[in-house]
Amino acid sequence: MNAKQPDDRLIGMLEFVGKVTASATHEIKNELAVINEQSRLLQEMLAMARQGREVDPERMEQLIGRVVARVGQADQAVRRLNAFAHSADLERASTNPDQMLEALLRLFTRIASLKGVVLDFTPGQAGSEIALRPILLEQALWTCLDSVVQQAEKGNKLSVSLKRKQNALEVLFQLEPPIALRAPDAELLCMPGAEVLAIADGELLLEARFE
Amino acid sequence: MRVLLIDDEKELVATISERLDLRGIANDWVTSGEAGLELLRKEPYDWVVVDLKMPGLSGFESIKAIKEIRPQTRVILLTGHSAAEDLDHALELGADHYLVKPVDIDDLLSLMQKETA
Repeated sequence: MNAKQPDDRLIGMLEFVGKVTASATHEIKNELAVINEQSRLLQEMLAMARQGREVDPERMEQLIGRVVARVGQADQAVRRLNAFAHSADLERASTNPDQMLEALLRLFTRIASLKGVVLDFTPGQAGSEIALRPILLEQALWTCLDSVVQQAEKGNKLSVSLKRKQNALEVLFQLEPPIALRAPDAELLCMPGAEVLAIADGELLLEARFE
Repeated sequence: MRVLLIDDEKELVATISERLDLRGIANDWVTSGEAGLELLRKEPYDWVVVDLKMPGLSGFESIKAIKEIRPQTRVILLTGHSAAEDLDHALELGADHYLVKPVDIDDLLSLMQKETA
């Protein structure tokens, strides 16, 4: 028997897609749980009003406002997940690196928040669009983000910045306060030409080359 | 019966608390495992309902600490999903029950009332 073994990059990509999907669906489920509780409470208040018991109309109005707001947040979470899923459809596309990183950081916020890490990003540093397979860059960025955040401690701030070189993007992950970091597993950076250039106390520099 | 609710999602935990109030159930709520343990050290509760995924002390860590502080307090773990290994681990740590969100508050209450009686 000569069964073909999946390679590390394929496994890395599947893990990446699984982590993004699991985190985003947790976020959506959380929004639905809040909407469920608030609408059940509204039902109970209406039932009380029908029985002639006193209910506070301002509280009901406030609850309805919160339901509407949480539906909006759930919708945003679904849109982020949908946009991510469609990024896998594109073989090669003109991509704005700032927008990609910002969208990816939004998807990553829940994971960072569970570790007590605050994310910081200033868009507008990466210049014009580049042509590449978007999901490969997303995966390389996520692998570095995940590696740094898993090593971080509660209360750390992680700043992510982009710098454009000729045919490459440099992505700097800076952790404050700094800690001694280990490099992420290079085999899991699926993007050809993506590599961790440097790693020091609290800083990881990723270079992603494109044509 | 006194209930302590622990969940980092403030709107969720505050709304469950309000629904328990409407049913005349004495309860308090906090948004972290650390704050929950602080309350438990000061006063006893019959039940603690704790979320699994929280920043800081996780649901697992909270269950272990709750059982050390108040071994008689019964604990229900709330989870967003039903991964068998998570649920088994929670029971090993001393959780009495687990429920998957969204939770039907009347199911939650009937579970607590049945075992408190």
